[in-house]
Amino acid sequence: MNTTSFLHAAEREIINGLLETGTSRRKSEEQLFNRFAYFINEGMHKQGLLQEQAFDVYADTVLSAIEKIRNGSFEGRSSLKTWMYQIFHNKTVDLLRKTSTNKYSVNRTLSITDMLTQLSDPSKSVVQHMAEQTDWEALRQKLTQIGDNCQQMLLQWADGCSDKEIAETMGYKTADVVKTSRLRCLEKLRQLYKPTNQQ
Amino acid sequence: MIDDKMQYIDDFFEGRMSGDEVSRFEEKINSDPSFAADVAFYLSSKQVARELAAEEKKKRFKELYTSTNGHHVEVKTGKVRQIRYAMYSALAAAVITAIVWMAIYRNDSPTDYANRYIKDHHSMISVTMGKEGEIQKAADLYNKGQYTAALTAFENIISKDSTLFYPLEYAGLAALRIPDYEKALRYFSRLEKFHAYSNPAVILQAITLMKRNQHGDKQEAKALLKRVADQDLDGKEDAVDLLKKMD
Repeated sequence: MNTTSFLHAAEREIINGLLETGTSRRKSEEQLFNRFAYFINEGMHKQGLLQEQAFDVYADTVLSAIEKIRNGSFEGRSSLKTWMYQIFHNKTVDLLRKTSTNKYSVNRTLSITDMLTQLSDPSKSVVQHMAEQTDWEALRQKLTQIGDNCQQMLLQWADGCSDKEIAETMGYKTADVVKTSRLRCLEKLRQLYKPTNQQ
Repeated sequence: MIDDKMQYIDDFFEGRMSGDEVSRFEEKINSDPSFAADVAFYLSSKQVARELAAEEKKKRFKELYTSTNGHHVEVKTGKVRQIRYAMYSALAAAVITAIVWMAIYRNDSPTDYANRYIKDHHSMISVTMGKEGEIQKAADLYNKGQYTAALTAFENIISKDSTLFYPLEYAGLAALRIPDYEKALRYFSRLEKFHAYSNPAVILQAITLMKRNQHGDKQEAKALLKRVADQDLDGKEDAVDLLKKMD
């Protein structure tokens, strides 16, 4: 990531913190949220959003920014503020468009599309077709029932943490131990989910 | 006990396979539906977990926002760090002075300012997932830099329904990028009649005139920018900034 010329020292520090693990990362996530939290007021006053809507749009902006920073898509070609504001603006436009055309769906479905990039097109469509059969609500409910440790481990894994990082934050000896435990947790989730899914 | 299949799937998605192994993995997906279902389960579980992780963070942000009553919290820094920041600030101030000096003596034209504005704000246009397939395709053309094709696509959409806000804005932007100034001005002027939450029509008319920069355009653009600033219209901050630069 080339985060050189346009970044303020404090912004660089936040970005470096986001690339770390545990407390440092958490602290940096909160610093990032605080840094541009005034966008929420802008969303309310300039775009006429309700406070709740403006908060949601801004929180989604921060989450999206964190993901992009961690996966290296933020190249630092503009200031963090300009980049974040562009994401915020796009999300606001999306929300306004959805609201004005009554497309605001409460029961939205999830998609695994962005995780399929490693597969070739034929395999991708087979897996995508299978994933369309997923009962998202049931799977989500089972995930909250597999125990705190398992849940935390899977959440951190899904949030982009490596097994080594999970080992550090959750106090496991090695990344290998985490990998074994994580796969056990997935297996446990599958066993819990299966009966519901087969009804 | 860990299912070998789960380990096998994990190895693939964590990038622990060689080229041959990857090919065999993909063949298995295509020939074994039960295996494909396992892969789908693995990814669906990750997606649901990702969603829950995001919700947890949002909860934390909510607490943070509520605790500060919506006010921005300055993060206090240590003394050494403050000195470092002061040094950076001094260096930054020197660089900024140099940039300002260069900007003054470079004497940028309204066209330069307009191009910079367009680059900063409209290099890409927002594409929404959903049923708006036609708008999405037209926006894709715009984002690929195919402005003439994008304009035709947006005009097709407008011809079917002239009450749509974004196709009109985007048609104007595509015309501006071509550039077809007359058309851009026509679309932005039509856009101005919409009562939308956020309507950049006036600042976009000003930007079009600045980019064209023919006799009288600069004055007319400044009048429009002043209107944006005085009436607190969409793009007020930029309008104030552009007015200062063009004084």
